[in-house]
Parts: sequence; structure tokens; C-alpha cells
Amino acid sequence: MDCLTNGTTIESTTLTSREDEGARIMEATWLDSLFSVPAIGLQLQPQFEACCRWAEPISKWTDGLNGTPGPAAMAHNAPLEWTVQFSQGFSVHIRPDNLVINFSLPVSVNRVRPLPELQIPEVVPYSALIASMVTYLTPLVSSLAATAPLRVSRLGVMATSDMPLGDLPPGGTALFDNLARPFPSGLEQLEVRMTAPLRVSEDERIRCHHILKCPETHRDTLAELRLDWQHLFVVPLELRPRDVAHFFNEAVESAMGYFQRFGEGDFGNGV
Amino acid sequence: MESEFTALTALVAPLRSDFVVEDENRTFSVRTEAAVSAPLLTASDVLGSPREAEPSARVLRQVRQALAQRVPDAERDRWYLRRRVLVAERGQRELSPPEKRELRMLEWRLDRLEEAELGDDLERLAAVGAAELQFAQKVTRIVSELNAQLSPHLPQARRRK
Repeated sequence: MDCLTNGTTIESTTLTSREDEGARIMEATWLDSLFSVPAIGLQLQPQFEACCRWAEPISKWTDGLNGTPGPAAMAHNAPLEWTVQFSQGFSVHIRPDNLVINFSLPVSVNRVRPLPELQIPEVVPYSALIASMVTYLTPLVSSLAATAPLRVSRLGVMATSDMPLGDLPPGGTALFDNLARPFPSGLEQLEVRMTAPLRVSEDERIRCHHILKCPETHRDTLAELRLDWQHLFVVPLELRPRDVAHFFNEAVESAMGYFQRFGEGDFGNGV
Repeated sequence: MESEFTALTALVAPLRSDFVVEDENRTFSVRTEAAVSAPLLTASDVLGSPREAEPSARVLRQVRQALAQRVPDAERDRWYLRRRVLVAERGQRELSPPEKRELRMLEWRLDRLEEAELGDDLERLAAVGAAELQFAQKVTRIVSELNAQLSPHLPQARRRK
């Protein structure tokens, strides 16, 4: 069902429990029908004094995960920079100004036979991957925030999909058709990045970058669609341990709600 | 440097690891015994560069098939049923914009499901279709070549016919 073994517990939360806030975001989305991978990132205002004390909570967090699925590798890249890599494909990068979790499908090559064979692991849909990310991040960020409240200037939730151009969701197709409309012979290639403000107020801004790359539209090549939803805080938000779970879940729900509307082509009076 | 090294040693003590220190740029590397045996690849690595359309599409199809198999039967039934309801409604009245969007999305989802499940069969069918087309073109060419060669020898009236 998800990339964590069913029933695996992290900080008393399980992905299989419907009471878990993470489970709320595990509803199917159009992103689940494609090969889509999520990422979640926090842009932080560096607090070096507090960051010097991060080694302990990070090591406690990795130790706490050390059952199934424990981290596969850990690197201390620089005095205040860590990378924790999981065999399921998750990587967490921690720096004083940035904290990111992303995912790469951990494909291996079986070289035993004369012709190497590509081995694809269990494929997990987007909504389950992002729920797992929240489950991984929540205890880590809570423990970092316990050293001193984190000052968050931006929170980002991303979805990246590779697909043949003809498989774009209805909203993506509508967007592509609109971009191609002025050209009588259509388009041979397309590479666009459109940033739309979704909500703007005095102290915060929500926006989404829409990146669409179609290398050669007349061939059966893969297009890349990337949606990068961002919540920006004019005055950095002070994130405390007790608020972390709600903070991530609310953001992921909002981002996925927008991704869903984009996929359906719900642009209001626009496209 | 020494204090950082000590702190880091304590940090990774619980993990059985190889520990590398590079003095020049003051970086540390730690790799546990359980380190991933296979390299972690990005989506683009797996799917190949855009120019490698064929292998990329094949891997993508495998991934899609795996994703399609995870969709519960109840969910599929719900999608089919809802599509049927909306199509029936469309025959009676004009659908509202949200209903139109819902129907488009349902059709897109069901197409992706069917495409994932029938992908290999459809490809084989397309290959058979292409071979038949090629054969038909060859037959047409041979017939026209025969006609061209035979026409001078045919009686005038028959040729006119």
C-alpha cells in the first residue's frame, strides 16, 4: 500500500491508521495514474547557534527509524550539512537554510546475466509517497524545532511527472493547446515556466510554478510536467514542535487540492 | 577540526560505517554497511533521455502497469459507474462546467488504466496492423506493375474498358 511496511511505526503514527493526519492526504489523485514523484522543501532563515545543536536530534531521528525502514546511508557533507538516504528512494537533505525531502526510484541493474536486466522495485503512487514524506519529516522537523523554533520563509510541495505528450491530464492538454494556438502549424518544441499567484495577502503569498517541457512534440518523446506549489511568508513563520504535523498536512492538502484542480482544467474563467 | 571529528564519530557510532575524512576541503563522508547496493536514479535516468524514446516508453509502460494494478476494484467500479451516470445525464441536459471537467477527468483516468493494462496487446495489434498495411501496399504495387506490363498486349477494347 505504501512504501513503509504496513504497521511500521514512527513516533507513534502509522500510515495505515485513518486517524493519522498523513492518511488524510492519501486520496487518489490524477498524479497517481502517472509516474509522479513528490518533493517537500523548507526554506529557512539560518540560525547557526541552533544549527550547531542539530547533530543530536538528527542522530536520534535516524536511530529512531533504525528498524524497518531504517536509513540506508548517511553523509555529513559539511559541518552543518547532512544527507540521509533511504533504500526505498527517499533522501533528506538538511542545511541551515534549507531542508528538503525528495524521491528517486531506486532502480538496480542485474548484471548476472550476459544482458544486464533493469530491476524496478515496487512502484508507489504519488499520494502514498507524499504521505510517507510527511511521516518521515514530521518527527525530524519537530525535533529540530525543539532546539529553537524554526524560522520558515518558504514551504514548497512539488510534483514531477514524465509522460508521453498525449498523456497530459485534461488541464495540461488545455494549457498546451492554448500555448500552441497562435501558431498555424502547431509547435515542434515547448519549454515554459509560468508562475501564478494563487493567494496574496500582506504577510503571506501562495503561488505555483508550472513547468512544462516537451522536447520534440512530433515524436513519441516524454514530456515533463512539474508543479511547484509554494507558500511564502513575508515575516518568517516561527515553527514550533507542536505545530509541525498540522503545518505539513495543511500545506500538502492545499497543494494537492491545487494540483487536482490544475489536472482537471479548473482555471476559473481562464483556460 | 578535531572537535568536529569527535562529534561526528559520536554521531555515527550507532551505525556500522566506513568513515572518510578529507582534510583539504574539511568534508566528512559516512557510508553505512547497509548502504544502497544500487545507485539511486532520478526519474529522467530511469526513463532515459528524450532521444531514447523507445526504451523510455517501455520502462514507463512497466511502471504504469504496476500503478494500474494498485487501483482497487471498488475504485475502478466507482469511476465506471460515475462515468456512465454523467454520460446518461449528458443525453438529458447540458452538464455544468464542474460536471464536464469531472467527466473529462474520469475518461482520462480510465483511458490511462486501460492503456496500462492493454499496453502490450495494443502494441502487438499496432505491429500486426502496420505489417498488414505494408503487405497491402506491396500487393497494390505488384498489381499496378503487372497492369502496366500487360496493358500493351491487351486488346484495344478491353484496355478501354
